[in-house]
Amino acid sequence: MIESPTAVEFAALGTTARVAVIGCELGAARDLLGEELDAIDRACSRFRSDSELATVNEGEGRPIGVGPLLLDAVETALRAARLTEGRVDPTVGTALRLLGYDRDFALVEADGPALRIRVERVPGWQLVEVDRARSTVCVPGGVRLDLGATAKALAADRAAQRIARELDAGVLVSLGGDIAIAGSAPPEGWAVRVADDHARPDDPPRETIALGAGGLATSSTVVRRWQRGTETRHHVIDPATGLSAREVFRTVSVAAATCVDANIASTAALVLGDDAPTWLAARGLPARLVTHDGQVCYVAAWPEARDVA
Amino acid sequence: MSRLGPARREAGFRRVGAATKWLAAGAALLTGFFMAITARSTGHATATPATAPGNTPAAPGTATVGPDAVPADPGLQVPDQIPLPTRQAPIASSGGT
Repeated sequence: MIESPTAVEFAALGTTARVAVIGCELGAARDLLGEELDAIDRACSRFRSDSELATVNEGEGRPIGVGPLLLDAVETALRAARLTEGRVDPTVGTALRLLGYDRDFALVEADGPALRIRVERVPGWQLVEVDRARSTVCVPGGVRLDLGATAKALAADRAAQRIARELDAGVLVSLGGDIAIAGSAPPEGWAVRVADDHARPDDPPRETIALGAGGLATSSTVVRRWQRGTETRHHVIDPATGLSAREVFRTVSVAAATCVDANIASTAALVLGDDAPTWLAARGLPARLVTHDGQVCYVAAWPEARDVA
Repeated sequence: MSRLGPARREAGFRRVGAATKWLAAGAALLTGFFMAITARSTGHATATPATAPGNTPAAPGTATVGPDAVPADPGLQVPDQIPLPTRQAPIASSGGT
């Protein structure tokens, strides 16, 4: 008899966490995922005053001793910046705050008065100093890191790998729609619905694909939007301007070897705009892009099957 | 066995010293000659050690590591298995959050 996957979902990190397993007890997998999420939140949250990241952001140019998880998360963010030539940059923290995203998103006012904002490049990831030997991170005064683009994906990869290793199981972990897979997948693969909003998977355009390994991430400007005056803001910042990225594509999904790599690519694609399909194709990354008006285009080995069932 | 006088011994030392100087000068000239040929054939004007582009001093934003500590980042990696179309019921969803 072929065993069927089981899954459980719960609220975490201001979004939903979901774990699906095959070949082990679901409760044990859920507990391990919970531990990983607690750890990443304590290390990397921009909104917790007691997080390690908050201490780094208040460091005013002094090297701050951090644990291995934040060290990994910062190095992951810097790698993202390097591989995208700064299009995914962790020094967008101040820009996000000035645009109004200065607390957990559930607490951000949906509407508010117009903002007076200077259009300028964010400080830049090159200013961040990591000393792995001393386990310190240093950012100049006034520079604030936001690791949201990559820390969640890192947590998904870490949790999936740990669950597969410790429970000897096949596992899929989804954190707000960023998906990591580890261990032996079901024979038909893990079926994943791809849509604009992971919390509204039945809204068109949508399709379902099967994944056997690696990671899948979707970045979208459809969610985490708010109004200031006549301007609509969203959470994907273009480091070149410090403003919400121009919306050429509203949603980009990318499959890669890890959830982190998929997330880096999907976030960069939103910032790249018109150049995104070429950029993704040059890297051979299977991707699905939805234009502002709902047209879907595919890159590399992304299947063109349209599943609207 | 005949014994040499002091004058002949001094003359012999002078000849050996002169020969040594000429040999040293010749060796230096030959060394320079071959270095010039080598430099011309390899396109380098001097024999200073080459520096790889990636070996510039560590800049902020990068971890400080030894040259053999971390392999070069291969960049964003494609999945081991490409996504496939399916008619299965989804067990998870991927979208903006």
